[in-house]
Amino acid sequence: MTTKRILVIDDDDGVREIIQFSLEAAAGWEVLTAASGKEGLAKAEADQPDAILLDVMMPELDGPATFRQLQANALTADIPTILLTAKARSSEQKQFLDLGVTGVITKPFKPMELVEEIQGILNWLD
Amino acid sequence: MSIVNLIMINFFDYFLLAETFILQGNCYLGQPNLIWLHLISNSLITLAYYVIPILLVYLIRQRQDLPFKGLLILFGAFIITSGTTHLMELWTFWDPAYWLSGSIKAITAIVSVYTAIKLYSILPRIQNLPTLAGLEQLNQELKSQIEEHILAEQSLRKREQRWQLAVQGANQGIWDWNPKTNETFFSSRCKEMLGYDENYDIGDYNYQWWTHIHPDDVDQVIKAMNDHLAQKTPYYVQEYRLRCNDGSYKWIIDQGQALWDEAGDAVRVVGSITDISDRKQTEEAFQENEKALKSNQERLDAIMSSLQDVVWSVSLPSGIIRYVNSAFEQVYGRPTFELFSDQDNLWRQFIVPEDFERVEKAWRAVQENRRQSWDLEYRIELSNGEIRWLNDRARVIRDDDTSVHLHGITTDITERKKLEAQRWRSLLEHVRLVVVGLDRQGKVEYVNPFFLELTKYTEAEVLGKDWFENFLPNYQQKSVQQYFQDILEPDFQSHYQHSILTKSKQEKIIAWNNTLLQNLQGEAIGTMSIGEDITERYAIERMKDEFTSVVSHELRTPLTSIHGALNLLSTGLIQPQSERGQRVIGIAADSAERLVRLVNDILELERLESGKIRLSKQPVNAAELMVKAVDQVQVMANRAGIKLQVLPQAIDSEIEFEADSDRIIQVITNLLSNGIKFSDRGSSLWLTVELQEPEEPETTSPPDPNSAMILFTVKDQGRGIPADKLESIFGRFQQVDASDARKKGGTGLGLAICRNIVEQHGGKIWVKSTVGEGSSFYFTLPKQTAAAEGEKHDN
Repeated sequence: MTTKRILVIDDDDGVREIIQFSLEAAAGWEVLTAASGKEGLAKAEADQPDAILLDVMMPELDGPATFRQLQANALTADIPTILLTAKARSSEQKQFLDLGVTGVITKPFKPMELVEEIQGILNWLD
Repeated sequence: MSIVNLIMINFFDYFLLAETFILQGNCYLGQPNLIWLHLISNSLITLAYYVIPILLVYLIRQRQDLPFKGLLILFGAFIITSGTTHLMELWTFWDPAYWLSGSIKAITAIVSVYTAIKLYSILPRIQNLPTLAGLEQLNQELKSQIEEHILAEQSLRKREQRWQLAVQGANQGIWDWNPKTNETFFSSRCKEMLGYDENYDIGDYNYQWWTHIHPDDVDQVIKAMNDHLAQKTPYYVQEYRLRCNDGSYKWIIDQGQALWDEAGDAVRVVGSITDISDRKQTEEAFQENEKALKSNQERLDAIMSSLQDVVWSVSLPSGIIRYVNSAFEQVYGRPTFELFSDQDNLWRQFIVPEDFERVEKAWRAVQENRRQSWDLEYRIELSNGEIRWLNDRARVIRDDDTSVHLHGITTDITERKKLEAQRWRSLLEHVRLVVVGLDRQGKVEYVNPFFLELTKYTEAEVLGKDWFENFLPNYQQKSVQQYFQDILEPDFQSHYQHSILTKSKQEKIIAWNNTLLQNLQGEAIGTMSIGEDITERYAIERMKDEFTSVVSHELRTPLTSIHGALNLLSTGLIQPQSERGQRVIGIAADSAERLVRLVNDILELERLESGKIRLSKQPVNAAELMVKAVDQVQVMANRAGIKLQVLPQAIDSEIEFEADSDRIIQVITNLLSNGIKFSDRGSSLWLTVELQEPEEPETTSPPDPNSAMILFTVKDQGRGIPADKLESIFGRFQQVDASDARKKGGTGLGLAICRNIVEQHGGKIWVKSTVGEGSSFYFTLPKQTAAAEGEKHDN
């Protein structure tokens, strides 16, 4: 299995770092990080990650808006994107899935479970 | 020797010593055989003739009932004398005492003659004695008579027993009175009936009995008995009360029959008494019931005639009116007799055509036994054209197998209907709910005043218009129109929520409750919908949802860091001692601290908003508060390289006011720390306070110095706040830059808490800012609180 490259976009430094450490330590993936939607859009286009973990609630450009811009850009439109949300309601999660994202993962999470969830969503298990 | 003795000696000599005669044996010439023949024969005859009387005497003694005992005694005497003559025959063989023998014969002759005469005299009687055959026959007859007698006796005994049983069974006591002697017999049952034992002597019928009769009854009883004794009545029958042993009275029926002699005088009266107390009680109860029934009937008649409702009864299935009270005339305006004379159900002819089919259908169902009751409302038209609303409640009652009736009450509900209509009209016109009536095509037939007030349309602009095209947003028209069609079908859902458009095209969200309108035939003719304007509520709900969502995010974010960090360490994915491990621990610690701050602020705000925190207002000095606040943030300002300045005139002003000092210090500290966080190193932060005098009123009285306000200002040289955020930053989690604020330890609730505290003091808070130049936060507080002012005025 080739090393995967994941772009984590989250405005919270602590969360972003924890995700980065988790994916690197538990899955051995290469993790890129961005602290805002705007920064994430630029890195996605530039680094072409295998998948994007995108936080929903961010100032200025929030998760859904960032995702719409990723979709609008041909260079990033095909990158599987998973939304990270602290909103636990199933109705809210369905709302996000309706946007067309590949999956939704709710906070908080355990590092190993996060990896497994990402693998499950992206069919990376094999 | 006396002469008697001489006579007696001579007599015996004469009779016994008659040696002068020859012996009788000499007559037989000494022939022994002949002598022996006579001797034996005479001996045997003598013996037999002596034995026969003895037997006769024995027989007479044994059979005292033998007839002709005297004759038998005579026979005995005759035989014994005859035997003696034979004895003398023997005697004279040896002793010729022929005088003696002749004397005895003479006696025998006398006895024999006498016996013969006696026998002769009673011979006819002896001849009349029955013969043996006759006796046999007589015996047979006697036997059969005896048998008949036995049978008769048995029959009599049975009859006696039957009679006794009958008397006992009939619970009757028997009396038997002789009016001449006044002797009276009372059976034990008579006595028992009156509570006496059977040995008690009641006395005679004529005196003691009367004393037992109730004083009110005694005259009639005596009269009845006298009439009967005088043969004026065939029987004596009376019902009266008898006094018992215990003093109580018992109702009895006394019945008797007298026997009269040829002279027409009563010689015996036999009768019976029967206890009829139970029957009398039953009769009295029956009479009471009858009386009560009659009274009830009269009461019922009175009630019926006073009722304003028509009470009626109809035979089924014929429909013939059996009863109707007088209210019919008032309700229908027609005389009652018409109803009875008409066999074609006059009452139905009054029903208005629109309602007739419905009532007729119900009536047929009752007639055909498919329905057992009805509760109908319908209209009738009187002969003068007046329309009245009636409510009919009726139930089928089966009096027995053949008699079936429909009993009902008809109430004139015309006034009630009018009132209902008025009430509904009034309700619709005053209720703060939207009411819209549509016809089957969706055209507006009715809107209430509140609808017009809400939408700013006039009635003329609405009525007759297509509801869906004119008053609904485009995106909802199709779905609501489909829903309207569903309402017209059975089993529709009556609740729905959609928006309507006001005249200015503003959307109002309405929660509708829809009712299908039907005509009296049950056909759908439209809808009537009542709706509540939930626009504001909906917005509040959305705000609540958003707030919950934000709180959830704000809490979960640090929690995610803590949770992830601890998992990385606990699972060994990262070693604690490693550089990355130390960083992870730092992240967890920062996040935990942030979480604590956040939870504290959330709880603080919640307590403030719910009024759980009560302000402890006391006179405070503004300068003192400012100094304390500055002291709390001075270290932070020093670290950030910010120059914190409190203007000297503020310190010297000696401004005093009423406030909760801790809370005001909390507000000032919060504003100062915000200024420190978002200002560049080397910049300044100013804190001032001033007293704002009230504006002079237009009246001649001087301004109230206590209505003055204290104005605090915190001015910074920071990055500034965009104009569109100047108001929202006082809301919850409404930072200008949440990520940056979080990094600086903000929870997003500080300004919301400040606003709450200030407003609770009766003050205001606001901000003026220019992006890139800095911001000035202001808040005012009343010099004196409203409560204190009130107290002052009271004094």
